[in-house]
This record gives sequence, C-alpha cells and structure tokens, in this order.
Amino acid sequence: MGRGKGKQTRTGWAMVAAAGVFIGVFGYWPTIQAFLLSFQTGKGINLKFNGAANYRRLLGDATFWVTAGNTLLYAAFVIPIMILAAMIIAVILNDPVMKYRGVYRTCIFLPCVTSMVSYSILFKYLFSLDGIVNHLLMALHLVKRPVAFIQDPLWAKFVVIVALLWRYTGYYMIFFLAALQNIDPCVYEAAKLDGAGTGQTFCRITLPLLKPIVFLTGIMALNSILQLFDEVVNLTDGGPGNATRTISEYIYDLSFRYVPSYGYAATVSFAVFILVVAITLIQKAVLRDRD
Amino acid sequence: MKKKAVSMVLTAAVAAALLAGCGSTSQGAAAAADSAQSTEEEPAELTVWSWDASFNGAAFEEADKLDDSVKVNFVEMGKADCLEKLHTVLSSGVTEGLPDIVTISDLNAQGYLMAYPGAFLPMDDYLNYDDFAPYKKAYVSYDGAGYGVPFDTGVAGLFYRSDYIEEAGYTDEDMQELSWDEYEELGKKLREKGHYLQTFNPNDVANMQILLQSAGAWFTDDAGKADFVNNAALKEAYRLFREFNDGDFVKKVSDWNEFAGAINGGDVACVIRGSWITSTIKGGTDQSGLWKLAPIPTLDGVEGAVNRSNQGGSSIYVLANGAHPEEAARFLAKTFGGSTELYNVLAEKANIMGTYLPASDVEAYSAADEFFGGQQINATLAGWIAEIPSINPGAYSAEAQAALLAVTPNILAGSDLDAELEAAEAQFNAAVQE
Repeated sequence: MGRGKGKQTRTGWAMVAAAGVFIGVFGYWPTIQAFLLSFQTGKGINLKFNGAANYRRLLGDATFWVTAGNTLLYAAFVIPIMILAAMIIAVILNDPVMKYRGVYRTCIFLPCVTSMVSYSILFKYLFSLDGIVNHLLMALHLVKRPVAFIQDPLWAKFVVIVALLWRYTGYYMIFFLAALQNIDPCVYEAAKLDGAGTGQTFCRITLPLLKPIVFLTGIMALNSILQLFDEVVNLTDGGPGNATRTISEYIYDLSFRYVPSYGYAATVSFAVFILVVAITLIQKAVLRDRD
Repeated sequence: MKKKAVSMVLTAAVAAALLAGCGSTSQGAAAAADSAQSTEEEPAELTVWSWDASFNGAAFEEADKLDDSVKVNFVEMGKADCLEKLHTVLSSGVTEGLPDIVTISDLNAQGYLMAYPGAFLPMDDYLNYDDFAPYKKAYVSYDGAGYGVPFDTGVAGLFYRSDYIEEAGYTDEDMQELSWDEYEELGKKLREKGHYLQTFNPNDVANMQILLQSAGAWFTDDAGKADFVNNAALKEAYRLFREFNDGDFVKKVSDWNEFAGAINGGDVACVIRGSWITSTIKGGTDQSGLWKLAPIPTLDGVEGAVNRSNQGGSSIYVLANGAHPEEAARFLAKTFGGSTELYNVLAEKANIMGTYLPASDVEAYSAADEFFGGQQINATLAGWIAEIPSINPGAYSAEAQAALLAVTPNILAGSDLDAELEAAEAQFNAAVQE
C-alpha cells in the first residue's frame, strides 16, 4: 500500500515536473530577481544595493500616487458598473423564452476579442474633436463647440472608463451565464409559486447564488485594471499631463522612456503586487462576513 | 496575472536575451559557412538597428555603396521599439547579438551614454567634430568625449500657405522677420478669413522645444538640474500657449493624425516644425506650389533669442561590444563623417539633410522645389543649420517634459505659473533621483 502510494506520488510529480520547472524558471525566478532588483538604485546598469531607499522614494513620489489614484479610480468606477451590467445582461440572455439568444450573446461578447490596441485607437477616433461622438452631439444641438474629450483631464478619464466598460462587460457576462446555468430551475419555479416578482427573484435568489462568481470576477477585473496599460497608452498616452496615467504606464516610463531606473521600476511593480494582495484579502473578508 | 506587472522589466530582458540568442546562432552559422568557403578579404557585415527604411534605411544603403570593405545589414524597427530594444539588450549585459551600429534620437542619447558606461565607442579618434553643426556636437558628447556621428538635422522653419496669408493681407516679405506676437496677430486675421493659424496640442512638446532652443535655453541647465522657474523662454512659451489655448485662432488636435490631417486638409495656414515636416506637408499633393518657407518667429523680450532653432533629429552610434566596432567606426567616418558626395546623393534621392557642414553647399541643395513655389528650401535650411543656438539637453529631457506636461493642464486653466513650475520642478527632482 505504502509503496504503491509512493509510486503514485512519483508519477504525479513527474507529470507536473516539466510545467513546474517552466513556471519556476520563467515565473517565480524572475519574480524573485525583480524583488532583489527593487532594493537597487542607479540609472541603467549602474546599479547598487541601497537598502529600502526605493521604497522610501515611493512613499514620497507624487507621480506614483497620482497614477495609483487614477488606477484605483478606474477600478472604483469600472468594476461595480461592469459587474452589475454583466450580471443583468447575463440574466436577460439566460431567459429561455428569448429568441436568438446566441446572436445577442455573441454580439455582447465580441468586443473582447478585438485587439486592445486597435479598439483603443478606435475609441480615440470616436471621441476626437471631429470624431463621430462630437458630430452627434453637435447635430443634436447638445453642445455648441466640440467637447475636447481626449484633451480634458476629466473627460479623458471618462473616455477610458467607457472604453473599458465596452470591451470587458461581455467577457464577464460569460462567467455569469455559465454560473446561471448551474442554478437549479426548481428554485425559480418554487419562487414563482410563492408569488415572487422579477425583482425579488433577482435580489433574493440569483444574486446570493452568484456571490462566488461576483467575487471571482471582482478579483479578476481588479487584477486586470491594476495592470491597465494598452488602453491608456493608445487612447491618451497618459495625458493630458498625468491625468489618465496608470501605474503600469509609469513603470514603463521609468524603464524605457526615462533614463532607466530599473530598480525603482521594480519597486513600483511590487507596490502593485502588494496592492493586489491587500485588496484581495479585504474583498475576501467582506464577502465571507456576510455568509 | 501578477507576473505580468511584477516582472515587466525582467520579462522584457529575458525576451531580448532570447532574441539575441537566436540572432547570434544564425549569425554564427552564417559566419562558419562563410569562412569555410571564402578568403579572408570578405567585407565585414555591419548590423544596423534603426527606424524608417525610407529615411535611415536609404541613408545606410547609399553609404554602403561608398565603402567596399563593409556590407550593411539594415534592420528596420519602429523608433520606440528600436530605442526600447536597445535598453533591454544593453541592460541584460549580453554582448552576443548586439548590432554594430544604432541610431538614437538626440534627446535620448545622453541618457544611454549615462546608463550604459562603456557600451558605446568614443569617436573622437575617427571624426573631426568641428566638421559638424555646433549644436549637434553638444548632443552627442558626454563627459568630455564625443560618441555619435551627428546625422540628420531638425532645423526648424515656419512653413506657411502663401495663398492663405495673402487673403489675410500679408506678403512673403511680411513673413520673414515675425515675432511671436506678430505671428499671433496674423492668426487672428487668418481666423477672420476662415483659416486657422496652426495646430495646437497641449500634450505635444514640439513647439516648446523650438521656442526654448531659439533662445539658447532648455528644460535643464548644464548641470542637468531643472531650469523651470527662472527660465524666461519657458515662461514666455507658456504665455503664448495660454493665448493659443484660450483663442479660437488655432486648431486644437490631440495626436499626429489630426495634426497631419489639419495640414494636408488645408485647415491651417502655418506649421512650425523641424525640416523633416516637409515630407508630411508634401503629402497634400493638391497644395503643390502654395507652400513657402520662412524663418521661425522670434521671442521678443527674451535675451539672446534668434529665429533659428531645431526640433528632432538623431545621430549614429557604434556599440563598443558589437562584432566589428573598428570597421563600423571607420565606415561611419568615411561616409557620414567625411563624404560630401553621400550628402549630395541623400538630398537628391531621399530629401535627407545632414549636419555635416562641408556638405552644406552641395549641388543637390540648390534645387528649386516646385512644391514650395520654386523656393530653394534645402539651400535655405542648410544655411540656417550652423546658426542654430547650441544647447546641452543633458540626459533628462524626457523627465523634464513629463514633469511640465503634468502641470500644463493647470497652467492652461489659468492657475499661477510660478507655483505650477515649482511643482513641476519638484516632480522632476523626484524623477531623476538615483
């Protein structure tokens, strides 16, 4: 029995060994190196260990805090709206009575197969001074002069948020659709017999049963937004000023656009890492409390 | 997913190392094949990393023809890709697969020279730097040594639509000695006729660079410290930009496409940029003969301001740890650093203008350009090159520009200029610390 189990274990390890080595070499080893790098200061290759100097610099770095604020602002607006919208759309499209559900599902999912660069550029054109949005607003006499969406610090943030909502809502809808298929229809039938309305059914049955998915999608969305890069670079290039710059773009600036400070760039990366861990723990605690 | 953010820098380095590895393998194989079947007098193959095949590519192709001892392998990539790839390969410390020659834009050059000591070959023994425009020499020098071979110029000009300014009651003579205030005045008259003066993008530093250098000023001083608060040219530039932003006589744009569209679409009467803008202007083929060239406006009231400036341009560098640094340096000295014939061909075939002074009166420059109403624009521009005020951009232009752009929206919205410039200076100081 014991020998058999040992053999089984060995077989198991052999099967994951290749993947494990790759993940170790290309995933964890660079992560450890980056952590070591985050304690080094200097420009380019003139690096030397300098204790926690980078972390002290981070605390007083106004640009970092602006970019962190922007990134969290996107998260604060995009995630609730997106998840709620994804959930509602999923519930509507899960209704077996509805015709052509597949077509609608495909249409709503389609934005997230577009390349991040190309849809960002598309949004930039839509919202440019002589773009279609401004033409529409002018034609409807809602504005007198074209709105400088991309050049205005506030509007630029708005455009980034709209773009993110457009692209990712469909993606998260799929998770909710899958989860809805797993809810036993008997539960709904029982609710119907008890005289529950649509709103009550949604709030009392669908929502609680979808809670694990809300948590999952919340974490996933947060992760991707904290690493937001392509959209902002292509839509506004972080501008005007630093109004839409994200942490990831700042990391990129520090390593490639400025005289490279690889050590400090690694430090900022670890700040993102710490942020993700912290928010995940909070989110988990909050959702568990309500159980 | 966290891996993406956390190891951004390192993954890039790993990717570059892998790419470099592939490159060296194939090169090694090729070299082995060569030595197996040929004599020693084989031309050295020089790998060049650069951008824009029709510009830098054409230049190296012509230069290659002038030197039989080398063979140029031009590897084209996007400008940003080229500069980034250089960062990753140099920071990885791997010397296999390094190119022999790279082009670096002038404002980035000192950053590379500072960040990677020993990576670039000093060229003082190969070149006479006095042969080049003085302003360009400052760009390629670091710590007392000259590194790059100064290449293309971004000598700035005021390109204007002669038909539009005529409608506003101006003649070609009126355009020659404008001050910036007179230039604005022209804008208001043009607006009455339904034209815009020029484009305006508050997130674009091109006009700012031109204004500063025309006064011999820059974002940073010679010691590399921020020069914001007491910089008369910078403050004057912001005064103008505020007026541009508040007035209705400029066409606001947010990116290159809108900028080029405004020029080619006939929306704007003027564009002030480096000489490389001519290829964009000429994209509007229906406007042939309508464009003219004048010197840029002068910053009145700023000491030492002239109507000459520069915007953009790059230089050519030899990597000290490349496969053939000696051959590469000799090749560049012979061609880009010593051949008026090369510059003549480049002007004639590809409309490229260098900063090699002995070539400033080559035959091809005197050709009349029909697009610019028969004006000899290349001869005019070439004549200005030696008069461009020389500045030391230091290594931190990108940091300084980012710090200023961060406060630009506030400045344009009307907040106190001095306070905003002080805030920008604080951001700059934070960005450049070790």
